[in-house]
Amino acid sequence: MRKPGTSCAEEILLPGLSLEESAALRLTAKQGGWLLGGIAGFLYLVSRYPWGVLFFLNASVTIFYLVLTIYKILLIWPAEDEKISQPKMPQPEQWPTYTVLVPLYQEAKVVNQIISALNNLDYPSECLDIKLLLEEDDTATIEAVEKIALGPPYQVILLSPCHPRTKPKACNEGLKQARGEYLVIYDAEDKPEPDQLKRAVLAFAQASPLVACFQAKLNFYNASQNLLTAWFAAEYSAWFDLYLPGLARLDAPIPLGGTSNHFRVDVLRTVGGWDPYNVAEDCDLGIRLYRRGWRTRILDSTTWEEACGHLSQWWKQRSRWVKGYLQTYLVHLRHPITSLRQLGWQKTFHFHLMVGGLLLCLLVNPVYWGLTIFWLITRSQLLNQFFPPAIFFLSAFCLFVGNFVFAYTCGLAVFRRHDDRLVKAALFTPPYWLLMSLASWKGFWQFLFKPFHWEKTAHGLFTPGVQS
Amino acid sequence: MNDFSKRWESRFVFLITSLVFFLSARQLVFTNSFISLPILIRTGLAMDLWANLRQGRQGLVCSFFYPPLPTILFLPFVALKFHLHRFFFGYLVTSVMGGLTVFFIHKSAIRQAVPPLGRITLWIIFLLHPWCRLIFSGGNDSAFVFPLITGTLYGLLAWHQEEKVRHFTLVSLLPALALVSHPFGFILTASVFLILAFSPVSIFCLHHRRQAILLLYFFPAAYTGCLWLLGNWLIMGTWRYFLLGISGKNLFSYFLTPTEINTAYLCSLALVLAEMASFLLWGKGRNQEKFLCALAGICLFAVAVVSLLFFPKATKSLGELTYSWRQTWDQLSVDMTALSKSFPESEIMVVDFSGYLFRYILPVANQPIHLFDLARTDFVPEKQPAYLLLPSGKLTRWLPPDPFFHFYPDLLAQTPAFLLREFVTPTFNLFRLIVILPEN
Repeated sequence: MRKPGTSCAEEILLPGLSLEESAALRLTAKQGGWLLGGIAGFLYLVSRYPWGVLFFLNASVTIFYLVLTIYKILLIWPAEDEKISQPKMPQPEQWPTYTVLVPLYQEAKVVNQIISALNNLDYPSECLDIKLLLEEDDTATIEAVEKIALGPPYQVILLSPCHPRTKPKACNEGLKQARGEYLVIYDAEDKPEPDQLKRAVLAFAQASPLVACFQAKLNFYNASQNLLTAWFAAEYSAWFDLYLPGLARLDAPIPLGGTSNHFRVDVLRTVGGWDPYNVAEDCDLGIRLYRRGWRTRILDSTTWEEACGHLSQWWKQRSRWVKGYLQTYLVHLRHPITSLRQLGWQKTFHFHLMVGGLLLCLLVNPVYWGLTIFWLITRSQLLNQFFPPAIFFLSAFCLFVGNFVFAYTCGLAVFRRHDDRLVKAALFTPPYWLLMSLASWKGFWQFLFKPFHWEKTAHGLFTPGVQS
Repeated sequence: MNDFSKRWESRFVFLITSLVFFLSARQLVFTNSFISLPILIRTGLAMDLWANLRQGRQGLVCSFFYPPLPTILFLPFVALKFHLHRFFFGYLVTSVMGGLTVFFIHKSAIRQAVPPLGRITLWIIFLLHPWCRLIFSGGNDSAFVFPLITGTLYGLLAWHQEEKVRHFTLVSLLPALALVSHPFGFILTASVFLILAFSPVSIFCLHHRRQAILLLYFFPAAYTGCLWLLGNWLIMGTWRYFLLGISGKNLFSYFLTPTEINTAYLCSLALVLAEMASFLLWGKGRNQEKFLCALAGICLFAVAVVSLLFFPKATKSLGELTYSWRQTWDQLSVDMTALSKSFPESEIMVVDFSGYLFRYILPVANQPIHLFDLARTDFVPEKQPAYLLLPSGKLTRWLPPDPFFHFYPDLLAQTPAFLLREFVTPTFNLFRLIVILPEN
């Protein structure tokens, strides 16, 4: 297997995506210089004015929390005004060719399921170009696919097992051979609504020519399997049914979800496809599309996925996402002034809050929860120095209002989706946040030491009818 | 009219109404020297809360006795210390609340497709009604709760028509806020629960849907209620501190007995509900159903009964109350001035049990004044009290019960020689002053 290196990375990237725009470089030299300078300056200030620096940090984080809380409340309001694409125009006589990419790695258990879901798609088979992306050394999945003896429109592409072994690298191979005008990516365990492709085609026809991508909504078919999946489903509902439509309504950059992204193939090729080194390639692509002047909208169709019902699997998946968000954030901060020019002030604000803010929030939360518990138990006066009155007031607001807002939003999201049985679990999500924060720290650690490692999420663990 | 003009019309109504209330409040205060008791108490409590935060103390006596949200709303204004009239922000907050009340009524009227002429007529009647001016010009704590009531009713109407989640947030969040703003919050929360549980709004929904509705409705109310209890526990050391004042009494009698203030509440609520119900009956909104009309009809009937029974009495007694309050204020100012002249070399120590009502008067004295809160400072009265205001009067129900009452008897048992003067009015009973005479 090839090891990552600059020359190797340049070979793997598609035209349209430069090395600087890829997560192959964790930090550019300039970013590294700024980071080192920042750390040195911080340490110097800590040595000179320890309380002042800690106070400043605390005040900054508190104000950040305040802004994030208000931002998330305000995002709900436009979400319901977003005219989510519900195409009503007459269907065309000839449907365009649609490429469907399905990366499969160690997915032998769910091969039948995805094939069945793809067979259920209500789209003329002669207009479909379905590519199953398999790894050469994944014999189990290859055998499972061979057993089904697939014919057209299915095509199996075998990928050589070279570094990085990531989903985006496989997708790029699929993109190279794509014949369709439009392209969608599905994960191995996905069950898209049968008319999703037709809806997407009609939505593209109705949308502005600047719209290059439609993100379908994602949710879980095993949401009521256990408490973890219920929490996960509530989080997904809030993300895909409230926050993303809100962002779309505000014409902000949208961090895409990992699957059911419908693209215009020509645009996808222009922007360089997916970044094979980014483990949250979807988020990165969403931001990159926006920076290059393209827009993403939300499609009123749901793809049902399998939620990780086992903590160990969930843990791997979440830490990978956080690592990917961190990669994405740094990639788009290579040249902050250029980013600012491309996005504009308002959209930069959205980007920082939805990508960087999310990360910071997850990483910092445990610290503040710890401080609160420490104070409740000890009533120590030591903390008073960190929390002068104004900061104390704002912090209290963030603690009591902010946490409520996040739980209540999850409740509203599942309520809006008519997943009424999940409302109870959604309202009691704080333990889930703790899990997310712990996973985030793992993701952060991995970013430092295993930046390109793709922790595979196992699928096919849910058996319908069995609830724990 | 399209959505755009409706939206701007609503904003215009809100701004103009706020301005009207603000100017009338200012007029009322400056011409009549009328002081709004609720604003005074809330400002005082917010000042105390801020002083505690600033000095790093944890004990906030009384701050959480009343439903605490208005106090917290006043806090930033107190903390900013603008050099404006000391009740400026009180007017501002209540004026905005008045504007919001009319804003929600107006939005309901638009949603119910009430003709523009009808909207304007009812709006003018509402604004010019003397009770309405009194409520929102700073004379009544209800100003805080009325936008929450009208907002909830608007949310209910809108949610019933469109089933948008954001309208449901109004239905569930506003009663929760009302719960920690005013005793009416209890009534609002219970009323909306009854509507959600037993009216056509949800009665035809599936079992799980109804459960979800009620759960999402109760969650914010339970949360804010728990926060209030938590605040009492953290600050006062007892989670049910706010119940001390009404322990042994019927909860409802606490705010429904026909005292001047409570009658004023009831009448002003009647006025707001009448306005809302008129629009419901008048308009021909989307998906209008019989139950909405029935609900509005019941409201109007209740309002008529309340008006007949209480309006004349309430108007008269509120006038008396205002007079009495003003008299007390003037008298105390005179006494303070006299005291400072009598003992020019002394320090005046004030032990304040009042809910901080008279803090504004203290600067009339020329010498240093030390404010003490008996509970927090371990104050031992080495010197004898020289000036004592003893509890009496009708407004004791307004004051937070002092959980440290056991400190009182020692002070009250001082020899009368040191008791220079006892000052009792029909309404106030509030604090004692201790003059420390110079050594010579």
